[in-house]
Amino acid sequence: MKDYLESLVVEQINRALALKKLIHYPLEYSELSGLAERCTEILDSQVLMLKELQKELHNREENDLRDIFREMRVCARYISSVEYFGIPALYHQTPEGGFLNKLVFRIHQEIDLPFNPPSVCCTATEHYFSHLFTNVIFAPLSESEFLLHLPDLYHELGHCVLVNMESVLRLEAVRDNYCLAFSKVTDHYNRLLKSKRREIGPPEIPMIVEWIHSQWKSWINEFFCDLFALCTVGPAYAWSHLHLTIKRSDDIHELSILQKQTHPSDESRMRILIHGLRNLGFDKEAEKISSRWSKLAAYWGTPPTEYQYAYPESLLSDITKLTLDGLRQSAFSIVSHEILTDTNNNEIRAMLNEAWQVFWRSKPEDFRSWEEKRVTTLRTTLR
Amino acid sequence: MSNLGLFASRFHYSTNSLRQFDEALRYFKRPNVQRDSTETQSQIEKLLFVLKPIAEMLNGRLSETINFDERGIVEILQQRRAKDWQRYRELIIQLTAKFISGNTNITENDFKILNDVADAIDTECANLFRRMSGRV
Repeated sequence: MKDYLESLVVEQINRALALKKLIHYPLEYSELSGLAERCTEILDSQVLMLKELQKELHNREENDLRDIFREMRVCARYISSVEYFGIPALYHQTPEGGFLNKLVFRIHQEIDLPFNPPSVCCTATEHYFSHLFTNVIFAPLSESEFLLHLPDLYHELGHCVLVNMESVLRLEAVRDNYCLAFSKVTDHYNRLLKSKRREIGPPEIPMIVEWIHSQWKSWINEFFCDLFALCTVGPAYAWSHLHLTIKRSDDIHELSILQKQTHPSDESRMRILIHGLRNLGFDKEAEKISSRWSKLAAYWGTPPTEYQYAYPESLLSDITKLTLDGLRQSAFSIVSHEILTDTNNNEIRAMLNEAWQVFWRSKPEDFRSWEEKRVTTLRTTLR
Repeated sequence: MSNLGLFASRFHYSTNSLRQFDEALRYFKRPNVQRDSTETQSQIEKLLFVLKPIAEMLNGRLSETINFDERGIVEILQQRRAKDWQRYRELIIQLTAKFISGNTNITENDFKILNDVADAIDTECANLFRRMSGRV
């Protein structure tokens, strides 16, 4: 086993070194230099760790290798993560990716992100998603041609805020309020669990309550990112959520009690967005979105019985308040009516909100012409 | 963020927990570890970051730890120790209580349990890695 383990270690070192050679300098788009550095840093640190393991192996007995085996597997997964989710963005530097990288760089300046912006790669096989380890946002290939879902980029930036909140001093209030919010979630479910264990009712209910609480560990992140997007880009994000739900959702009241459910239901996400819009002073927009949502939501029918335990209104309201307060105290540039209506500021978020207004008042083909022109102008501006 | 992103995020946090946990295990394997030093205390904290939420769950309470999925780890341990689960469960609770009380002496049997827990986190990481790579 020792000999084989050593061969595995050497194989992984060689793989990491081969991957480093795939990063070609000079980079086509300077916005990707952060990613190139990060990939190099991760690969170098895995090589260093693997070399340490190789040394350590010589001091170990055959029956004392469990931790070395695990560490080799960790290194192998990290190296593969760079190969799958870091290097492709550097190897395939397309104009689409170049445009979105410049766009994210501009957004990062507009909203005052206190850390380096993530990179973007146009090879997503789902809608947008972030790989937080390599710090890359994956976007669908043609996304750079359209405007209505670009607000979702702000949601992905929210995930970067979560990753950085431990180490960036300016994000202290965000971190404190985030922990407080989850503490409220746990308190709520501990109380509920206590009362359900006392009641004479179906024995499954306490198990469902425990299960729902464990799902909140993912859900709280999604709610945070939704609120982050809302308070940086504005109502456009809520419209984008509505739009995506209509196209993609199979059940807006999703609640799986058998399998892990990574995302909160679309219905609860819309509810928290409505709370957020009101908190930010966008009452009229909240009414408009809410009214349209109610009509569309009827398509999916009613929620299952257990749904009553999953997204209580009081928790959603508390989380909204805590999250937005934390973000306000962390000096982000919070969206306002003034920012969105100031015709001289040329901010990306003003344009994204305008896109939604034009979308609702135009005929479909007229909107597309308007959108194409705006995308062309935007590309020229960012060049 | 899509499901892939969520799996990537959990993979990131679980791997960090595993690395910290294994670092602590390797520290306690060294000969002549000073039992009451600050370094020893900090290594115990790394073990407790994982053990505390697991013990809380085994005691029927909900944990406030956000970036660690104790439920997944407990499920893996339970599958692997199905035959003597009740006894094994007690051992984990006792070991956690021992570290919380400040006892930093780790026996051979303790090492076995700690390695089991680390193996379970490793399995969880492998599972998340498979999911985030789209190989579900």
